[in-house]
Amino acid sequence: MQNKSIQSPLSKAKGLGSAHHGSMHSLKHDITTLANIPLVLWVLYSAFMLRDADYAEVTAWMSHPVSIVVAILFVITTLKHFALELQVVFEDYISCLCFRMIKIVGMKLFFIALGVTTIVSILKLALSTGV
Amino acid sequence: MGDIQKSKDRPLSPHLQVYRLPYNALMSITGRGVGIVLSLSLLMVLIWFNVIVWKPSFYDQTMTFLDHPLTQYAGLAWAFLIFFYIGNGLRHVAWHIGLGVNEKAGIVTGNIVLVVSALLTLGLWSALNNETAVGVTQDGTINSVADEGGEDAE
Repeated sequence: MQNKSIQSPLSKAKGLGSAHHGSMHSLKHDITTLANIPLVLWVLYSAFMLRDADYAEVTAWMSHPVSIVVAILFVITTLKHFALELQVVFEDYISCLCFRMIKIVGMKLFFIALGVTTIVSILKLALSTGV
Repeated sequence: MGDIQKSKDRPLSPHLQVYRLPYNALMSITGRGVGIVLSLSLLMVLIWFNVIVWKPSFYDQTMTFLDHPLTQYAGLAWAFLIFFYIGNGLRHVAWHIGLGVNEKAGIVTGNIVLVVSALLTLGLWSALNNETAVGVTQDGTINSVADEGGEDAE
């Protein structure tokens, strides 16, 4: 490999190293892991309690202020956690940079859209009965 | 031509297809697979929730779908994956603060996660069975009208 470019080897090497965002990604992943544990357990408990419920009972359950807050937190932190998780999967297994970026950005935009839609639905369900 | 035959006898590098994964590598890739499955299932559940909220008539169809035995076994398997993923996540958090980062600790904590997840799933299964067996008589006074109405409708 001969260096035919006018660019110096040093300037080629610069910018090829770490982007210094990796540790924050890992830290966010860990924080959402811990934050999700009580939230997931609450969702599982709710599903367990509501397994034979009719629509009115579900609405009554979801109208409780604790339910509203926890459900919205659950939506935000689980989607955040899995966005971080899937981003790493895409980065590891998709070698084509262009396709990889399309997948990551598309995934994150979809997650944000789904998260906002779900929060609106939670509020609609909860407020339809009047808190 | 002789060179080609010789090269066939050479040992292969430890490629994924011929390489038996050690325990910790197997747990690692399983955790990632479970993460992908759970993220897709979360999307499915959230989309389903949105549909029900904006089209409440869909709720009864959902409940009959959830009452199917196959769905309930799938739900138990799903619960196992959730417990496993939580345990595995705790392992990752511990590793990131420097706890248990060696092969033996990985095997021990991995087995603990597997056993505890299995026990929690068994507990959930027995809770579901006991509640439906006992709960009908206990809650009969409260839920009898709703329950009988539901059964008659079916």
